[in-house]
Amino acid sequence: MTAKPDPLIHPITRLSICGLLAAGADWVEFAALRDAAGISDSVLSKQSRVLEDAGYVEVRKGAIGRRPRTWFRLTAEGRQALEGHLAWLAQLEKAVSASARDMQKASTEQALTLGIAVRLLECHPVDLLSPCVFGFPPGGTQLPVIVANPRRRSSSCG
Amino acid sequence: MHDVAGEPAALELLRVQRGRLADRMRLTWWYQSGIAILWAMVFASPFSSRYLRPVPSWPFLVAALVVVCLLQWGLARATGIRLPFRNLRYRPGRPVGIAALVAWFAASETEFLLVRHGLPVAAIGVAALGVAAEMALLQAALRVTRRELRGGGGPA
Repeated sequence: MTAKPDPLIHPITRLSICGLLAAGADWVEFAALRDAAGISDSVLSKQSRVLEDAGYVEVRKGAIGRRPRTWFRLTAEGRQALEGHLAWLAQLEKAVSASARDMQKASTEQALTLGIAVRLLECHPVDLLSPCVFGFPPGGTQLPVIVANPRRRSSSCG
Repeated sequence: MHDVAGEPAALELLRVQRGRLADRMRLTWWYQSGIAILWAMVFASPFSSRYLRPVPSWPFLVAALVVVCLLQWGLARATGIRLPFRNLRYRPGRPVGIAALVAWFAASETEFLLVRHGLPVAAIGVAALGVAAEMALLQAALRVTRRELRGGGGPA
């Protein structure tokens, strides 16, 4: 199975319909599908027709007494397309969560660096205007190198 | 262009919707009653073979099959979900299926033994226990089905 987006399944309503039909049931009735997807009758009718025309969904219509009943089933073609689309979505989800984690890690490191710098400045007041006392080393590390002035050491920092 | 931020949310929404579909899968009172009666008939066979005149068993088997089919059809109508036929090759349901077979075999054999030794009351007790065990396993099978509906066939 190749992870690739399917433009026909990509709209959220059609993704919901196909995803629900692929959940493990053989056939799902109209009302059950509508309630589970949380969509209206007209939206389900319209989107299911698009999927039926594409050969992704099989529709069986019948009636019990005077009450019409419509059942849906995902075809093999529809299942294959959905699996590829879901795999692509899962890859995307993984990538998004990894980038969010990286961003969080970077912001935590920045906050930590700032906290250390503030604490050091509290304990060892330095002349910030003097580049030889407070500066960044050329190696590229994010931690600033602070050289304290022992003559101006605060008494509150033990 | 795809909405990259919205797509993981689409997967989450699909999980919620599958949960809703799984919650629809409930056993109705008449389905449970029907299955309990069928199991009671199965566990009554050691008594009938001992105390009643021997009759051919195939009419009962056919009747039981018809009743099972009707119950399944009714359940599909009531829940809106028609499940595919599954045998022991279906991996998630295999432990429950094997347990149901073992419970049926053990209870039936014990009943035969007790009836042969003239202990019908004890045999009735074993039959009742057998029906209770089979009904508990039916609930376990329902849980497996719900888990499958919630998890879905795909990566979502």
